[in-house]
Amino acid sequence: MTEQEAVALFKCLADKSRLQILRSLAQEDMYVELLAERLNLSASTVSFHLKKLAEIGAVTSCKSQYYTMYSLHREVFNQTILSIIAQKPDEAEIQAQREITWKKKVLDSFFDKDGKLKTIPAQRKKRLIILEQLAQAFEPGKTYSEREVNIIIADYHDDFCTLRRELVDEGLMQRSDGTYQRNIQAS
Amino acid sequence: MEELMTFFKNRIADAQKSACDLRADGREDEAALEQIRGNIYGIFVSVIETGTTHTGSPEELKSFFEKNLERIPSGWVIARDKARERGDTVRVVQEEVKLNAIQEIRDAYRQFCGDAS
Repeated sequence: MTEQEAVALFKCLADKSRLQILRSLAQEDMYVELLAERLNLSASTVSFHLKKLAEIGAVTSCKSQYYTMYSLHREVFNQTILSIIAQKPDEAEIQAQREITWKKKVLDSFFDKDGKLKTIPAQRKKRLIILEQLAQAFEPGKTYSEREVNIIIADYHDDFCTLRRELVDEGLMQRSDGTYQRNIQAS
Repeated sequence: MEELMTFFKNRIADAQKSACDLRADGREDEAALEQIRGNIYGIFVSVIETGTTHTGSPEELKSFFEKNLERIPSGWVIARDKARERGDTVRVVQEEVKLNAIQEIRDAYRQFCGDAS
């Protein structure tokens, strides 16, 4: 478990409702409605907490015939707290984590909640992160006409011409004979 | 509109108390959801206050309120549906809290001001 994962785990556990959910799941696997009834919480509140618990790997889910059953991920809880805090973070991991956090911050500030690009960043480093994100909208190996590329980019921002050119200039997409392909090596 | 205003202020006080109780009980996220609920009523207190200042008659005020009651939550349904599509349950619940508060506001408006909106 990385230091970041440990922080997320402890933060997530610092909630009475979530501890009650985990206590119930420690006894037996359950579905949302049953947990809600037992804990006197609304089903949506239980789903909310289960989603947070699933994000840190504390619970797992599987679809049964009618319901999604939730289980405690016992491996996470079989570790001692001492073993978690005693793990030394390595420098490369810290650096990688910083990079991920920074990229997320850039994406959050330039994309709105509906996934639209608010503005094209002026700074090249930030623009590259945005372009890498846009490149994900294209299937690797698939050939797109210029019109198709424009339509896809227009879902994110009106200035699709600039963004299309930048994707090519930054090596994220290749253009040949008027058709485009995502450059897999670069993204 | 006075009764509606009183209703909103009571709901804001309820939400604040509930958020305080939940926080004291170690349920921070549920407290935040209550805070969101309270904020929605707060928005409509501001709508009434702004409408009272900028409209000339009770009918104009009602029309101003109704327009905002439609306009303000219009993006929330889209946001909830998009969150549902990408499996973002946390966001879905947050948007539902807002939409439930709006439904309550619509019902209260109908009850106190007579019109269905």
